[in-house]
Amino acid sequence: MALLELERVNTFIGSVQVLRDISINVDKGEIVCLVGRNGAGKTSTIKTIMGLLRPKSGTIRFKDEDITDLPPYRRARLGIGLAPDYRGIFTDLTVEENLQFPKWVIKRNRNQSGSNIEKEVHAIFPELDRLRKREGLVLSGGEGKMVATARALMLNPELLLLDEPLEGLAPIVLVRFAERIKKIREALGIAILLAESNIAHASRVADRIYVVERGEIVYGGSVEDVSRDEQLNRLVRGF
Amino acid sequence: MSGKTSRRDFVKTAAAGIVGFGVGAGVGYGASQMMAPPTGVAPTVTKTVELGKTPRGVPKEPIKIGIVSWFTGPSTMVGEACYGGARFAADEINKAGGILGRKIEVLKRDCGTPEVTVDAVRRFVLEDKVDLMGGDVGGSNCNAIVPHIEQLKVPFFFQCSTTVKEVEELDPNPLYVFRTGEQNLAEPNVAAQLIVREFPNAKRIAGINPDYVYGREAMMYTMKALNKLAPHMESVLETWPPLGATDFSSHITAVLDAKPDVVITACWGGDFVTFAKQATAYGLFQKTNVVSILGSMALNSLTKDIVPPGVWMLQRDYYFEAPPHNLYPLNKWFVETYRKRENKFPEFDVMQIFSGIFAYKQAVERVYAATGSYPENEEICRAIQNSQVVSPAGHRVITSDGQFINPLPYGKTWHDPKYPIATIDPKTLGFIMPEYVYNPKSLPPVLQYPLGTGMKYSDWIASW
Amino acid sequence: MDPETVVIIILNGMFYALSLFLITIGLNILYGFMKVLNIAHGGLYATGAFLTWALMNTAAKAGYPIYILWLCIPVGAFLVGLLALVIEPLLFKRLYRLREEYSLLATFGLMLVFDDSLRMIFGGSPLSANQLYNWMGTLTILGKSYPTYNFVIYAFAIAVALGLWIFFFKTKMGRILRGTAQDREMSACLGVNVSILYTETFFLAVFIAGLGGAIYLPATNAYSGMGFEPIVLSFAVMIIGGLGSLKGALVAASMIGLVRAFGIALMPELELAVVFLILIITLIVRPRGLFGKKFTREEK
Repeated sequence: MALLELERVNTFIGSVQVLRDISINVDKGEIVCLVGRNGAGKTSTIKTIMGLLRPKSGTIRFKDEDITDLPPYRRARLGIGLAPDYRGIFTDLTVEENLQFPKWVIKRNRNQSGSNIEKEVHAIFPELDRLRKREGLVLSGGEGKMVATARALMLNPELLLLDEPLEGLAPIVLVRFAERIKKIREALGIAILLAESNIAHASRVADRIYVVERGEIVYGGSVEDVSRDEQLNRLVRGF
Repeated sequence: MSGKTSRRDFVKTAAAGIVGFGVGAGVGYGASQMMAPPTGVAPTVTKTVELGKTPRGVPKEPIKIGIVSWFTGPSTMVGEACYGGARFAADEINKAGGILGRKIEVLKRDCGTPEVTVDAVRRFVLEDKVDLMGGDVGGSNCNAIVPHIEQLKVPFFFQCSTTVKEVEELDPNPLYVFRTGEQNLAEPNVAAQLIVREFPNAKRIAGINPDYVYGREAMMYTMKALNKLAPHMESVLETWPPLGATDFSSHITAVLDAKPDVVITACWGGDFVTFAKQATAYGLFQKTNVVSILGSMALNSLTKDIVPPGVWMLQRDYYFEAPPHNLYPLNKWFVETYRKRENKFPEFDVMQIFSGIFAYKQAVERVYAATGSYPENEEICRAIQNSQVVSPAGHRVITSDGQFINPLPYGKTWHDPKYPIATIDPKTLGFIMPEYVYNPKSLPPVLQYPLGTGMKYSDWIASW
Repeated sequence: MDPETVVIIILNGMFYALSLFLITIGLNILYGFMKVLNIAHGGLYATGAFLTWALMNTAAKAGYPIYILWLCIPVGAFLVGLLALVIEPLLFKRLYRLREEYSLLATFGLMLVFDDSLRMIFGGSPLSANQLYNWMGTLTILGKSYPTYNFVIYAFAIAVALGLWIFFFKTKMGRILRGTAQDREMSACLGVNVSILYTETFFLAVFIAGLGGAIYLPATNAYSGMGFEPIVLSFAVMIIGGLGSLKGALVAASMIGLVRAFGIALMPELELAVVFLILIITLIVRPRGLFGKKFTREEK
């Protein structure tokens, strides 16, 4: 049974259709990657799953529940965590406060809270200890991505959405961060859906990929198949 | 005499159009305060019924009175007093059968900027077809609407104290414009008179006055008059809180620091209430003498915990205990009836419109009695000019240019257990005669500010 | 000018400053977190004064002891806060996503509605409730009389400033609020029900405005149109201090209060000019205000 299921989702921004009949699914504990060029519809897909964009038609199911009409905060509380492409760090708050943020929110709303999640997150990202007192404004690109990811994990989600987590990272950092993504699944057993424009990067982490082009899913399958298919490869690379 | 009989007397008196001193419900002034009869008060009734013309009958429709005043903003209390006074007069007249059988209806419209005020006046006449208008529209709106009133040919009873600048530029021969309230140029004079009379040895004068044309003029002309009457007095500090201020503490402190003998304030309405409350806490009333020019406008808000005993207060042209009730039952009836109606003591605005409406009634009835024809507005207005009206404030003389005149009361506050508010100690109640107001040194002959000659008011003071 | 007078002038300056501060702080919260410029805040301040007057007057007439009268101040403010729970969903929720001009126009309209409603209910005469002011009496400071009640206002305003500082920087909700102010989408993605949070914040801002009106009532009075003057000056304070800055509101209000108090003593002609002179200088020299943020935040 799929953890997340999108069925024939059509999304518009203003009058422009950004997603056309998107149907994808993510299973428990799976790492799935949306691959496509910039503007292909990856971020729109992530936003539609999170509820930041409302689809005009189609259904979104999470844990067998129809969440198509739920606002983002309800989806977050159901167990979807997002680290957006722009990181979304609260610059007025310290790193520690950024990380505690989801916990405060959940506590205020008396949800069940994952008691061990904090320890686990720090085990995955040991560098966080060093950054605790830092203001959100003065983080480097890699640090920012890390804090955003860690913060999404503090929600104790069952599905983690990572929008362009590897983009703009120095090669060494990139490799390390890709390892961390795998480690997240190992440690927490959660599913991860990430968006990535570089298929080589995607292949480092993903079990399965969807290729997105002009708001449509043009391919879904294993990384190896895509790598072998020169036409798909070219499509994704853009040359 | 009971209040009931005095009321009937009053309505009857006014209805009969009997004019003259010593007639009517009673005259409340002591001999020393008796106002000499001014010249030219004989009723003048224009005979307009030409031979061969059929006399005009009494119209069937009710008489409509339009009140133009402040019904929004910090001056709302002014509008409420004008409107309350007009409804009071209308109800009394209606109870006694109306004006020649015509009942009276009272309407109201908000004034504002000169444009808004002109619009209110025009719509009253053109849309509501009112027969007369009245109200306090603010001193600096008067000149804007006067030409419209003259053009529309509907009498207007101003209750505002017109600014000096406007009086200087006033139409000297208006026909439809009447002024039932004292003008700005009277008040500084009264204040100066009071200071010279009560504090002849004072030297240092300070002011806390609202920062707009009225407050500025009040202070400036009081000082000009004082310089003339008592050259040893000088202004040591003039502070200007904005209109609608909630904090006077800085002004009070600065004034106290200047160690004045007398402090003049033209703050009114809510401003005076706040001022008085804070002045008490800062000990201003204990440390110096305060003369309030217009604090009396908020009469009903001047509770004893706000206004201490010993504050000198001008009362413009009417104070609810002057003339004293035991000597002048009409005033007693007026105050008691108004209190029953509104649960308030009548402010001067109430008396002003009340006497204006009765002057109108008297004129209509008089012309009708003389000619047998219902008068046109022009005839009514000519009949009001140079007449007198019996009012709760005593007899009011109406000059040829439409100004209602009566002695102006003032006095020092005390706490009378009879009343919930701070009132004027009868022992200190004094009157400044209009003659004094217009020329303090020569009495008689009456010398008035020469309206319409273009002479500056300050030049006129200098000519005393 | 003797030194004793200088002390009194400083105290007077703060008396005025803190009334501006209590209004500006609400404006700043609404602008800082919801990007709404609320002119109707003056009306809420006035409502606080009027409702508290009604409570105090009733209590005093019924002969209740003095502590009940004290209680009228927070209760009156709370009632104003309840008003927020009506106007926020009906009007303000629609304004959050619109440009500032819309909120200026809509809230100006609301201000007029408040003013007219108050006049309809309470009439046009100024209303005073002096029981507490008189009960506190007068202090003698360096040989000069000074109303004791003013110190209640000082203590109260300091408590509000401190309380808000703790709230925004030390409590969970305050920090959630600051995060949400910066990025409401991200905040929603982390589980924040922004709509409810905004209503709560709105309540807080309005409650403080109501408290301002209520606490100043005994020292001044409630009258028709009383909300207009402070709202104009509070906008000046807000701009001088920096939009959305609590520290800025306190510093700018104090500055204006003190300069004005000394101005009245030394150059009484320039009373109002002084405030706007500071405003103009600020706009020329430091357009974002004393403690305003640079316009370079990490935002989408």
